[in-house]
Amino acid sequence: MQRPERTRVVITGAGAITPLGLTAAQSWQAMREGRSGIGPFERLAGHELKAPLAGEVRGYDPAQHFDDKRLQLLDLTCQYALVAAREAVAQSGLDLRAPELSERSAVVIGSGAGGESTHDASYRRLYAEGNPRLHPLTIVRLMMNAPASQLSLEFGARGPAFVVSSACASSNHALAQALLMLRSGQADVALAGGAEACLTLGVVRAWEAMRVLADDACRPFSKDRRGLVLGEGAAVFVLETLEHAQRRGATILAELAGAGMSADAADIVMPDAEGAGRAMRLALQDAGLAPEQIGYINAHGTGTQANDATETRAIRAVFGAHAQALAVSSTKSMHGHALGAAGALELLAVLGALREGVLPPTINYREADPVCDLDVLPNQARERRIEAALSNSFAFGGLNAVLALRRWD
Amino acid sequence: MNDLEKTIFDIIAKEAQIPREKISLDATMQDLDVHSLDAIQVVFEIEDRFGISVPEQDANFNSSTVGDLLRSVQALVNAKAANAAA
Repeated sequence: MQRPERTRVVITGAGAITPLGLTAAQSWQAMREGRSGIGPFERLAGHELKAPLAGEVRGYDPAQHFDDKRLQLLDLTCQYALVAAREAVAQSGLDLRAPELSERSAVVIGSGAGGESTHDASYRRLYAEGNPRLHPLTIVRLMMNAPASQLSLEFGARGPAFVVSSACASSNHALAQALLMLRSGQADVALAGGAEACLTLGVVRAWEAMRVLADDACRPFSKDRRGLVLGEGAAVFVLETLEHAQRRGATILAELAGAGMSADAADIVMPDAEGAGRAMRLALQDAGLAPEQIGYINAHGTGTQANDATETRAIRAVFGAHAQALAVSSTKSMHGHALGAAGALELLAVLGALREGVLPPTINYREADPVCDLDVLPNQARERRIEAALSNSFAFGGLNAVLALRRWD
Repeated sequence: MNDLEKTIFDIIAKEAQIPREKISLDATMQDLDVHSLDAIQVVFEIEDRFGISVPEQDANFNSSTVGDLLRSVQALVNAKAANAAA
């Protein structure tokens, strides 16, 4: 596809805190090995849950990262975002406070639910304990924009900064937005990704009521799949214009080559193959990639009956005969559905696949389903060098965002 | 028609917005064109009304009939009463 020369955008740092590990490297290592981060729902132990399992971040000690005074300002969502961003910025080697860079640094973070643990604690005081007085920092903890504001403060990034919210597609919309800002010249560097920490009783009960939670395991694409498993965490990436990265001799992890976004305008919860397929096509077109160049798709793959069948139809419609040749997996089988952070966690999987030539598996897979008849990498990672990959996110509400990544040699 | 049956028919008619006379014991949710979001609201209303919890595996909305739903609700209501008496 011919297109005028335009600004290219690359990834030069990755950081994460996930159910699979407390760093990006640990999280990717677990995906590579097909290890699960899903287990008994420890935070809600004692409550009788219909689906008593979750992908929880384990072994995280806030005191190792923040002093008491700082912690008072931070909902768990912000803590995760900051921990991930520190790792990403350290890897990039950038000092965003530098005078020439500070105003050219953007922050775009996706979050679906925002400061849920702060809401939960506040309502407990008000309604359960009958205490009419809330902590004076309640608002700054729970405001939806808090992760973007905290990252901006921490790193001295003074360019455009905001949070985007589109449920399970929030991270991909955030990364797409950052890509567009770098291309348009509004910034040279962006911290972009997603953070979610909403494993509270209220949120879990609400998901329970939708009857989409699996009570045994997350088994995307397997015929006996019973639904999704909730997760949490954050992943943040340093995006830079290629020119900026090359000028300073940065190590480039991959190119964020394109993004495609669409809305189904069909149903508030049921997925739609047309909308999903259109987002994939737009991502390919935006990246200047032919379908045949895609070797791997990190699927939205929630493990619900409806999503996985619809996503399969969408992939077949977009890729035609090449749908047989490419590999597709859902790493949600390992880290759970981190909702607004999902696309960011899954970008780790795509980066790992592009850099190491290892495609992470769909674990817990037991039985082929004729309506999910793709090469879904059942239970075993596969060594395969790929040139480019897509990462799909399709949200409740019919909002879709797909990223296209290209290997950087 | 007993009270339980009447209540369940009323809930289905209201939540799925279908005429009550269309509902029969051998109709499936699919026959009645009850979509998944309406079906989970039907189950929620039943759970809330009777103070019971319908297990996930009983909520196979497409293939089970109104009669199946009625029987599983009756069993849950009976179990609840037996528990309360014990």
